[in-house]
Amino acid sequence: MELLKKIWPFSSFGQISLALLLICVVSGILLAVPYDVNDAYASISLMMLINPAAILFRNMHYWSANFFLVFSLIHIWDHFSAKAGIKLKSGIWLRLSIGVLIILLAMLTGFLLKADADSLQARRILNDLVGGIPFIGSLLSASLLGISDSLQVIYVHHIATFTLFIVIIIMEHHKTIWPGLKETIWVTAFVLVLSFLFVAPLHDNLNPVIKGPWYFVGLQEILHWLSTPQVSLLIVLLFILLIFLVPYGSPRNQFVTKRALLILTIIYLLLTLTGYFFRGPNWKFITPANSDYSHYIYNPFHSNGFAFTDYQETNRVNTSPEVFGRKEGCLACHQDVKGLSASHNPEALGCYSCHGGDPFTMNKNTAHKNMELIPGNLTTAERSCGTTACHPEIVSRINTGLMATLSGMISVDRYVFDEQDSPDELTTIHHLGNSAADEHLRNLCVRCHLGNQKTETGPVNESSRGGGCLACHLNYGDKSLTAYHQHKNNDQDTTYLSFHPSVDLQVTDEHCFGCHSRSGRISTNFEGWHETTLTAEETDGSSNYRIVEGYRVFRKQEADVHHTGGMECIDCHNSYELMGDGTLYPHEEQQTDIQCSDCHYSDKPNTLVLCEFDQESAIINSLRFSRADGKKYLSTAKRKRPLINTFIRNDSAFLITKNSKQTKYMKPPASVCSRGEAHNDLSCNSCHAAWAPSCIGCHNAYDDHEPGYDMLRNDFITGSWVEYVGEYQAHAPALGYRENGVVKTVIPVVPGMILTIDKHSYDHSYEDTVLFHRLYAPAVPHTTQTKGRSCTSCHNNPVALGYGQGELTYTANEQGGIWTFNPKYKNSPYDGLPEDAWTGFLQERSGKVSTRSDVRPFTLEEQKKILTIGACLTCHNESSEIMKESLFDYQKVLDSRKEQCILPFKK
Amino acid sequence: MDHTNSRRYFLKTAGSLLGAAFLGLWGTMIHTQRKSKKKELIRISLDSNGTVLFHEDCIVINKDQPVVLSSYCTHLGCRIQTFENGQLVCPCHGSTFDLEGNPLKGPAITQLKKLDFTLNKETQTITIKI
Ligand code: FES
Repeated sequence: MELLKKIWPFSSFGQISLALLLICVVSGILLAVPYDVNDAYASISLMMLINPAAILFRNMHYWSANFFLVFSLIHIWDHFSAKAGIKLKSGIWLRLSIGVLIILLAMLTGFLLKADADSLQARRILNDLVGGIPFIGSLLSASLLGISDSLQVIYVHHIATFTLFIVIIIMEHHKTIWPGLKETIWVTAFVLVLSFLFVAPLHDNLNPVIKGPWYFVGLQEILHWLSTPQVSLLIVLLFILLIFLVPYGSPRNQFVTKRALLILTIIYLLLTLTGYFFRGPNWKFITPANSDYSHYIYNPFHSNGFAFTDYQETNRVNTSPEVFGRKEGCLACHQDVKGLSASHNPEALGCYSCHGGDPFTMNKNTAHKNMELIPGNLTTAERSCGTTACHPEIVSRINTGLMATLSGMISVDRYVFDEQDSPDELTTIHHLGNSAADEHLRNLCVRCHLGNQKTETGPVNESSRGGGCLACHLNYGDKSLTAYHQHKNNDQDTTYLSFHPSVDLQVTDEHCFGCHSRSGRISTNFEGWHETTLTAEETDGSSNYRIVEGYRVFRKQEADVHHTGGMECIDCHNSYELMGDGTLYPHEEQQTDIQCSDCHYSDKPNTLVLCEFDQESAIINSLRFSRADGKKYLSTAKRKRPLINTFIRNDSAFLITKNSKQTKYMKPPASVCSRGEAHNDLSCNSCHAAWAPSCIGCHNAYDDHEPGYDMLRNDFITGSWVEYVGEYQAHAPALGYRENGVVKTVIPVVPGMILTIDKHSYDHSYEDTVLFHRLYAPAVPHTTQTKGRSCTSCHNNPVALGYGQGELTYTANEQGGIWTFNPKYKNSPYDGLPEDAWTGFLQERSGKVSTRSDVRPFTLEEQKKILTIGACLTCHNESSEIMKESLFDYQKVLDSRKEQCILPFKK
Repeated sequence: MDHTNSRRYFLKTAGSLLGAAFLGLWGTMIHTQRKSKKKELIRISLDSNGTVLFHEDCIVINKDQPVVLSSYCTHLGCRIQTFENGQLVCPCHGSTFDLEGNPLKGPAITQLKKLDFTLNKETQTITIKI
């Protein structure tokens, strides 16, 4: 204190406080003109936009008040430590001690008068706290805050009651209210500088963080720990009491009281710091390591400051709509923006709720500072799409979805690189390291995830990857697209500012295409395109070919019947499958909810009525379709989620396409599907998937000099894994078993990873041998055909059995029947099996055989069974009576076979 | 009886009486004013979807058997207006409640007040008097 006094050019702290009070009162009186107590928040936002002088006075009012509080406290402490002590009559001293509370109340009422989100909550808290005082609590709270929602009573107390009290107690002990001239000049200069630099806070009514004024943030922290909050009033009383007691009693007692006061103050300051800097939304603990820290913690030193220019916009501001109870500067300039759907109408949401920036200024630069040009990326979605008023439920779970974690892709890659023992571990893209597998993922795979940032405006197209919410929900209309291109060609053209792209529920197949035309290629399969290794120049330019992303050549194949029927991806897949349902899944088949049998059921459908819907499905339903009470909807068997675009009428199931609103009848499965018991363990896909793309014999090596790309960091690098692809093929998929405990299902599989990896090329500490794996992967090819596969396409087909392509021949003579297989591809030097095989002809294979731990090729016994029927099929037509009969009682048919029927595998 | 004493006595008594009368009047004024405050009617159409609607003074869980809860947090009265991970959350000190108003995490320890409402099945509306 002594040191401070030496460098301090003022006579006393009391003098400084007086000067601050003077500025506070004068600026307050002036501020009363633009401030409207009946529409407080809007009037402050309005002055922030159009009235620079008012902003300056508001800032001065704010800063002078805050420093008045601080200097008043220092002034008191200063007198405590002064040798002379406090020589005031006890009545005056009592009133001065109470004065501390009154100063706090004067400031708190000022805080309430902002009427922003912080203030409204603070008012409710104060009402409860004061109301809880025994006997007179309710009288006090009504008299302090009023009974209605109006701010009138609070305003009166702020400008009259408390201010008068302060003035009176000053007069009582100091005899004059006027500060010295020197102090007044210095202090005014100081407050002016502060007010130019730092704007007094105003809540945007969107940020979920609710905090009291800084001097009560410590109290808020205390209250967080107190289930009986009235105790906090005692703490305040104790504080006042201690102040009052300091001058009394023996020197020792005085010393103890002062120490107690000091310790209390220090503890309170620590609590204040905790509350102020380490508490975020819902008073949760938050640290600067949190990526949204700066958004949630108000930092006056990041304030946009006071801007002098561009204040000639009064009219525009006046005619702009009020959003969230206030004016926002954005809407004054960006008026009449067209293109957004009703649910994202800027007249209701403003611009700030999605794009951020500073809504309380008309200065272009200030307004645009820290603005989010492309909101919806997952790093920022929580404060745009995910704010309390909008979609917090979805944004909080989106990161659990596979499209955001890529768990399966990462796990399988590490498994094939021998870096992980199981392909089914839960992993996430956020934990990618620099191992050979992780680098391989970075170089070749992980561009496709929702979290990949969209960094440029423009529509979603074939080359788009990621983009958070916008990956699926961004749609350019004709006008916005034209305007976008005009701006691209000429950046002086600003038409695009008036035509905003839409953010809506029209999630089309194009949105999915960028990522899903890769790997399993379900998007292209669905539309009937098969990728080839041809180059664009090698095609005949006919409509049998399609060039994707300018260089990938696809050839026409059969499209999925659902596609030819006019359906799109989202007609089957619901919001929980696409945006995650809060549970982390290792693979897509676990996250997927829909099954063919949900719509194509044979017995009884699973149904739900509207009132049984979960909230999200109900809302989407009402947005997409009009309400239909009493209607019966189909639901998924797996998670009991409604299929909002289906309904049952006269015992038949129908589907309405979500985007084009066409009604489709959904056929029950054909009788052949359930004929006999023989094919009970076949999944629908094993018969109805017409073809699936496959790639065999690829080699992976790392090239130190290859110009590459780190897809996670989005950065060009030198040195990359290179994939030397083998051959792309499209044929009816192979089949295998998925075994989940007792449930065994035949499913389609494709040669997912038959490859060699040269790990040594990446890191010489690895053994100098090439890693070889022969893994097939379960597939849902999305190439469904109404007619299933023929009997022979499985029983007499080496590909279906997992042997790979070749000639499978059956010869029978008196000695018995023999199946022989002549593979098309040479045997691999690594394991002696044909290049494209999953398992050897009439051999068993187990261990590391597929990209899932529960999927395997047929065992020898199973192969023999299949091939025995295959042998029958070499003579008997598959639609013959005898073959049909075999579906019901196979053994009986075998037993009654004729002599010339020669079966294989018989001794 | 001493003269000064009796005057002091008189003043004290009169003062206390006046004070009590003042307190009584104060109480009556506030009480009357409170009573004169108009009740507000909130009408919501029933949507049976379990949608959670936040109003200034109440939270409506809009389902077949709707639940109307007071929006005043039982800790200190903050307005609850957030529904996160299936829970109602108070922004001020972080209390959470389930959709029946039961406290799940402190500081609040008592249930959110359930408010009366009328349900008109014919017009499918919920009416709440605040
Ligand atoms: S007011 Fe709700 S937690 Fe304190």
